[in-house]
Amino acid sequence: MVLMAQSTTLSQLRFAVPGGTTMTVVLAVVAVGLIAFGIYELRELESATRRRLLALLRIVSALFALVCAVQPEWVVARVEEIPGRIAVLLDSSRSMLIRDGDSDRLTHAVERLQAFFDNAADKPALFTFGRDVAPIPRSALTPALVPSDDTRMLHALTSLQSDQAADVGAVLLVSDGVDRGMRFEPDTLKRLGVRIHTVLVGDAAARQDVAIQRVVVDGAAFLRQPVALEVTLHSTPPSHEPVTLSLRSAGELIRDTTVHFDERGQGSAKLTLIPEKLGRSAYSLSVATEPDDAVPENNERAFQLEVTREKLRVLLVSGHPNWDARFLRSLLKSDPAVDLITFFILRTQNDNSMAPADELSLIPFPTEELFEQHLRSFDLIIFQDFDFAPYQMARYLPRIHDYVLEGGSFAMLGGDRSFGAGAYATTPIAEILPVKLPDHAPFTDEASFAPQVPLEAAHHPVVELAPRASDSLAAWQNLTPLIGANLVQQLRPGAFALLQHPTLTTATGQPMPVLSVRSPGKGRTLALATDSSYLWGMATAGERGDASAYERIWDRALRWLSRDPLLDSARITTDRASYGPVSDMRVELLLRDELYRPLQPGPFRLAVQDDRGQPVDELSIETNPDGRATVTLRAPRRPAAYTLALYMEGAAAPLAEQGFVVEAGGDELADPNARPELLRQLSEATGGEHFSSLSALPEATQLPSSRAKSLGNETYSPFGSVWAFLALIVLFGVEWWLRRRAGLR
Amino acid sequence: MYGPEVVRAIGDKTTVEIRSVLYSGGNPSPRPNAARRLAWEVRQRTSVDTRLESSQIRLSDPRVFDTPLLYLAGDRAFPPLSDAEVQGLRRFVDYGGFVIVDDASPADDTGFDASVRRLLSRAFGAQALARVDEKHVVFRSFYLVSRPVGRTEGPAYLEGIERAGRLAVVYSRHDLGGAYERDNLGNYAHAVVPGAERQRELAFRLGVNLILYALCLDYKDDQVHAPFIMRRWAGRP
Repeated sequence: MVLMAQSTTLSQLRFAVPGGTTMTVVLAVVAVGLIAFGIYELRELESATRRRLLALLRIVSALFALVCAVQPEWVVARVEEIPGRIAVLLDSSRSMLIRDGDSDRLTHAVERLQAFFDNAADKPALFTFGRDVAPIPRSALTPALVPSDDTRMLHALTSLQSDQAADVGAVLLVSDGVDRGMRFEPDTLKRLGVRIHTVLVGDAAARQDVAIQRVVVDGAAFLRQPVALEVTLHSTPPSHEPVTLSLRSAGELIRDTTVHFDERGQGSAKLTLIPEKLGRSAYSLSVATEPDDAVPENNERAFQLEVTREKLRVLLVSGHPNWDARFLRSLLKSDPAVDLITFFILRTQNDNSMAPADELSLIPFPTEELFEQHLRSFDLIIFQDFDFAPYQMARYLPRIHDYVLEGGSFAMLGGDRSFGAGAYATTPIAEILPVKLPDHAPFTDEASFAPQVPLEAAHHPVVELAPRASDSLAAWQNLTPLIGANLVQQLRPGAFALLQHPTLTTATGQPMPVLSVRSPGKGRTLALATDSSYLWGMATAGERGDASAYERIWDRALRWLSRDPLLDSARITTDRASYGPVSDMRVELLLRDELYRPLQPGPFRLAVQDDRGQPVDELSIETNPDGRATVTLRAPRRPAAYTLALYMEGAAAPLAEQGFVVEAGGDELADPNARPELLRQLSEATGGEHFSSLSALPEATQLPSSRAKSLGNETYSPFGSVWAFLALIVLFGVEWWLRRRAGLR
Repeated sequence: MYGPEVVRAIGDKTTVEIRSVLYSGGNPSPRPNAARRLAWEVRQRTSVDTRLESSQIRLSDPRVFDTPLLYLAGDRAFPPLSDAEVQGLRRFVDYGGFVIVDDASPADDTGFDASVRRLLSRAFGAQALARVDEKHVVFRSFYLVSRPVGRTEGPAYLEGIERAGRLAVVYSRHDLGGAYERDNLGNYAHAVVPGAERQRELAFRLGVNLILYALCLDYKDDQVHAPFIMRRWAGRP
C-alpha cells in the first residue's frame, strides 16, 4: 500500500489588539457601557419608534466599533501529512542483558526486530542507544551488541533530530523502560515532532531478586586508616531472611556481614576496611545467589580506592646528640609529608649532670610505649648511632624484627654505638639488616673516604643523583668525603650495596658496603655505615653552593623504605581506573629488577585475575631495552574487581600488580524490573502507540509513521481595512444626525 | 687536667668541636681555654661527644663548613671584617651552622658590642638581631634555665638571629668564657659577679644548653616533651 500525502487545514481565530483577550474584554465592557448610556438618554423621547431606531443604531455602532478595535484575525494553516520512515531505537544498555525465560531481553528484542525489519517494504532506520545513540546496519542487529553502561532515552530521542534521521516520521522505541534518570516532560516530547511508538521488553512483574543497589565510599583513602562503606541492598519481594554480604579484594575475603531487610525490602550495611597497600586497590561486594534469583548480575558490585599515605610516621632514635642526627632530623621535620617522633639520649648513666632531676628538662626514654604499644603505628624506625643495651631494650629487638618481616621499615645509621659496636651482631636485628655484622673489634675505621657507587647500582633511585648514570657517578665525585665508617661484613642474601668503600674489603674480598638495602619478608631495611652523611649537605654546600644531594638521597631513601609507589621498580599503569565491559584497555608496563635495571626482553606473563584470584586472561609480554612495553587488552565482560599481575616466566610471585574495576554503569541493574509506565507516557504524549510486549508489535506497514509538513499560513483580517473604518464613521454619523433631529445631544 | 680522652664517635673528626672564630684586630681570644673548658663540661654532663682540642678559623676559610658550630668572642672593638668574611658568616649560617657570640668586655666598654652589631647587621640585616624570648627552647634544651648569666650578671636576656625557623646566632653579653676559664693551676681564672659559684654553675648550664640546642634545635618543643617539662616548671620556686 502506498501512502499518499494528505493535506489538511487548521484554522484559528485570534485578536490582534495589544493585550489580546484581556483588552478585548475591557473594550467589550466599554462598548456595553456606551450602549447602556445611549439607551438611557432615549427615555425622554415620546416616540417609541424613534426610541427603538436610535437604540438599535447605538447597539450596532458600538458593536461595530468594538469589532474594529479588537481586530479579529483568522489564521489558516495548511499542513501536509507525508509518509515518513520508521526509526527503530533499540535499547542496548546493560539492563537488557537480564534474562527473561530462556534468553535475555536483548536477544528477544533482536529476534523480533529482525523479522520486523525483514518484513518491512520501506526499511526502517536502525539505531541502538544506551549512553549515546549510534546507527547500525542490519547485519549488526544481533544479540552480540556491546552493552552500554547507561540508559538515556530522552537524549537518544532528541539526537534523532540529526540529518541522518531527517525523514523520520515515527520512532519505534524498543526498551525495558529502565531509565532511572529520565523525567517525563510532555512539552519537550511534543516538540520532537514525531510519534513515538513504544514496545516493552521484559517482564514488568516483580521477580525474585536480591540486589546490591548502591555502594557509597570515598574514592580516596589513607594507608592503614579506616575507610567507611555504606551498602544498600534491596530484596524483591521483601524478605525476612537475612543475607550475608562479603567484601573481597584480590581474591581474599576481608569480612562478612549479615544484612536484614525491612518491610519494604530495603536493607543496608556499614562496613569498614583498612587498606594495607598504597596505590589503587579494587574491591568487590557480593551476596550469595539463590537458585531463583532472577538477576544474579546485581548480586555483585565492585569499587576501588586510591590509597595514599596521609603522613609517613617516622621514629628516629639517636644514641646521643650529634651532627648527623641533627641534620637528618631537620630534614625530616621540614618535610610536610613526614610525621616525626624523635628521641635523643641526652644523658647516659656515666654522665654527671651536676643537677637534680627537677632542674633538668630530661624525660624518661619510653621504651615500652614506643616498642610495645605503638611499634606498628610507625612506618619507619631509624636507629642513629644508638646502642640498645643500656636501656634494657633487648626484649624489644625481636618485636622490631617481626615488625619488619610483616611490612615495616628499619634503618640503622652508623657511629660508634651502632652495628657491631652496638652489640647488634647476635641480636634479631642483625638478621634483618642488609649486611652481616662483626661480633668483635675492630668495629670502626676513622679514615676519610669517598664512597663509590657500584656500576650495577647506578640506576637505584637512592643513589641516582642525575638521570644519566654517567652524570650521577660524576655528581658523587663532587660530594664531600665522609669521615669514618663502621666495619661491616658481606651482604646478606637478597641485599644490594648502593655505596661501597674505596679501599676496605670484607672477609670475602668484596668492597665493604657503606650503604646497603634489603627487602626481608614484607619489609625493607637500610644500613648506612657512617655517622658523617651530614657532610653531603653543609660541607658540600660550602664547597659547591649546593646541598641538594643530601636532601635528594634522604628523600629517596625515605620513599624507598616506605614503598612509595613512585619508586616501584616494576609498575603497571592503566589508562583508566575503571572500564565498561569488553571495552579497550591500554596498559603500560615498566619492568626493572631490584637495582632498577631494565628487565628485557622477556618473555613475561601478564595475567588478568578476578576477585577470587582466578585467571581470566593471560598474554605473553616482551619489553624494549628500557624495560617498557605497551599492550592493549579487552576488559572482561563481567562487572567486578580485577587485578593485573605481571610475572617473570616460571615465577610464582608477581613483579607488579594493579587493580582495576569493570563497572556496569552503576545503577543499571539495581532495579531490574521492566518499567512500562514511562514507555506508555512517551507514546501517549506524542500520538504513538504502546505495545506491552514484543509479540504485540505489528508489522511496520501497520504503524502510523506519517509526519506533518507545513505548507504555509494565511491570515484574514476583514475589520482592519479602510472600508470598515468608513462604515464605522457612517454608522456613528447617522446616529448623531438622528439624535439631533430628535432633540438629543 | 681533664682526665683521659675517651674518644667516641667514629674517631675524633666527627665529634662536636667548639671552633673559635679568628679575626683581625680586636682580641679574638679573650678567654683562651673557655671553649675547651665548655667542651669538657658538655662531655661530662651529657651524652654529647665533644672534641676538647679546638681550632681557630677565619670566616672566609672554605673549611669553615667542616663543622657546624662556631664560637666568636672578644673584649674590645674590632675593625670591620672583610666582605669575604661577612659572606662566609652568612653562608655558614644559611647552610645550617650555629654561632655563639660571647662578649667578654668590661661592663662599661661597648667597643666589642658595637663591632658585633655592625658585623651581624652587615651579614643579616639591620633588624636581624633581636631579643630571644624567655620561653625559647634554648633555655630548656638540657637544663631549665630561667635567666642567662656568665661571669657577669649582665642583661636578663640573650639576643639572637633566627634563620629558617631556628635560632642560628646567639649573642651573650655575660662573658660566658670568663666563667669557664681556668688558669694553669686549674683554678677558675675569674671571679663571677655578683653571684659567686652558684652563678658560675648557671653559666655552665647556659653553655651546655647552647651546645645542646645547636645539636637538637627545637627537640624539646616536641609535643611529647611538653607535659614533662610543664610539670617540672610548675614545681620550681
